[in-house]
Amino acid sequence: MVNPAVSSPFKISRTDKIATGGSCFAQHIARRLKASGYTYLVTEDVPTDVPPDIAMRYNYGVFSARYGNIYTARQLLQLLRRVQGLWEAEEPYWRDRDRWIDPFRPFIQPRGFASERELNEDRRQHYSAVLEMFRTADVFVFTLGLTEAWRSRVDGAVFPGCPGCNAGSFDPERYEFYNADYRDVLSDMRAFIREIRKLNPTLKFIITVSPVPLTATASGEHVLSATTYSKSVLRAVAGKLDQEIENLVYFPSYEIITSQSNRGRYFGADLRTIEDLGVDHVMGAFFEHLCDTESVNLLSHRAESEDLAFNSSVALVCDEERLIAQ
Amino acid sequence: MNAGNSIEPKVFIFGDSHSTALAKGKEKACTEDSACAFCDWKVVYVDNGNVVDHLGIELKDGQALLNPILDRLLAENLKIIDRYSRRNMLAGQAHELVLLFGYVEMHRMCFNPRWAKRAILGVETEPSGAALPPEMIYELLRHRLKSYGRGVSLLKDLGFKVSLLAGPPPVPDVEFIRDKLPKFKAIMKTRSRLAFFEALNKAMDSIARDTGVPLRNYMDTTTDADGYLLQEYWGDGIHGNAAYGKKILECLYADLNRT
Repeated sequence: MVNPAVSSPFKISRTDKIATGGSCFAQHIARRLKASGYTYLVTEDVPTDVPPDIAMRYNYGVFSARYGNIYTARQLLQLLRRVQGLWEAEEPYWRDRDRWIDPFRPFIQPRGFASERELNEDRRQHYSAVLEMFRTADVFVFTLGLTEAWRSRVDGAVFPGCPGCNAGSFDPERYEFYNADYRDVLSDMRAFIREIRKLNPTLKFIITVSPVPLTATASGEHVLSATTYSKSVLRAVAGKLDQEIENLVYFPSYEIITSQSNRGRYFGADLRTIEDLGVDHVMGAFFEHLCDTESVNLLSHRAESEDLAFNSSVALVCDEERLIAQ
Repeated sequence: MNAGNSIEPKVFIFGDSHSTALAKGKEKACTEDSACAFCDWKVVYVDNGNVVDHLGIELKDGQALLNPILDRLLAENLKIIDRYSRRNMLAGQAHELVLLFGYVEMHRMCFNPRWAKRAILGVETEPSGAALPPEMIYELLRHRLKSYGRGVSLLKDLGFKVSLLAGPPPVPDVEFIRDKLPKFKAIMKTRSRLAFFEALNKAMDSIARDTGVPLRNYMDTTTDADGYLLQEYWGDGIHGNAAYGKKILECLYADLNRT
């Protein structure tokens, strides 16, 4: 089994507070960390007696806070600025008949919010929870997912999905397609790291690239070419960040899943979903190379835990799959 | 109130601890008038939550089984000797079975340290940092009452005329609750308790519609303009008093006579 060695300037201990964010592949990392006895930081949660399936429908516990999938570096940077009150988008909500939708978390709960006030209150406490997470985490694991995004022509606000695709409505006068290049992504990630370290100077980073291919592309290219472009840019940026940023390490989950040595067996029948076997491989290497020895030993005793069994049985939240459903 | 020539349904009220208010109301009414309409009624306090959590027990083969505690109570209170032939014995008798379960669910959340600091989005105005979406609360209650709905269907299948009873609304005065119930150290904010209560009645309404039974909701007669229980009906901070119980029985009586 291929096990790419990772030279990390730090090791994660059981007491380190780990936060996660990124595309849907990052949810695998979040689940395994939670199930393996690590200190998984959750700053926006529900009481423990809420059934996991209901909590998940409302995006509690999917990541460290209820931001949903963060696909692009620009989305991450704008989130950091919004939660600090440094920037706010011109478009505060979308309307869908009698419902209010958060454009930056359009699928955070079924059917959005019942009123503008409810949305604003939820957003206020969400910002507070995200800020707390950024301030108190010891390690932030972020999975770069896409270069493609839809953004506002008015103020450059980047959305996690295309307006009008299951939420909002599309207006070409208001929105435009945006496919970030290497310089854009690198610049956004550098800005994010620089700005978050003002809040939390000792924060360490683990950067990964999602191995999940694109479902669709608006670039005009074939989806295969678009996927290769996107993953190439993200992988190159991750490598550059690994070289130049202190206490930041690139972890090759992308390579582990997509390597020809695995003969494609880590992909499910839809050729997108990552099978548990693949996640096991990724997380085995993750724990081996990025965690201290004591924690790795702990993991071996907990691998069959009920938490893990349950978590594996609940589907990931993948916004891209809504494109297929449409 | 005297039954006179009006319809005299045999009414059986089973429920969680809130049924004790109705039992007190019946006692009050019967003391005041030994020939009142409620003298033939039965109000039985079953338990404080175990039954509602398992009113209709789903078996592995997909069949459902009525909770044995309720099953036994029904047999005892209806004087059915052979419980297994109950279906035949009840035919044509049209017993009115009123269920007052589910409100313990609200208390599990509103008076539970794990929930007490929670607020409901769109209800609380001050920053709390821990408000939950109201629709999630509704979903949660629906989830917890799944077995309840199954049990209601089973009771209908046994030949009972089943209806669900809503209420009671929350007491707004937290100090009153603390005074009456000092063991509750954690109490959810007043407006959130009201929101929970509304979500619970919405969940009850949903169960009633799904199972095709009426939800009897007399809250308008016992609440103030904001939806809280009128002070004259306050009991121990959670449950209504005897006057509340009597009031609900009177509403139920009028309702049954109408229908």
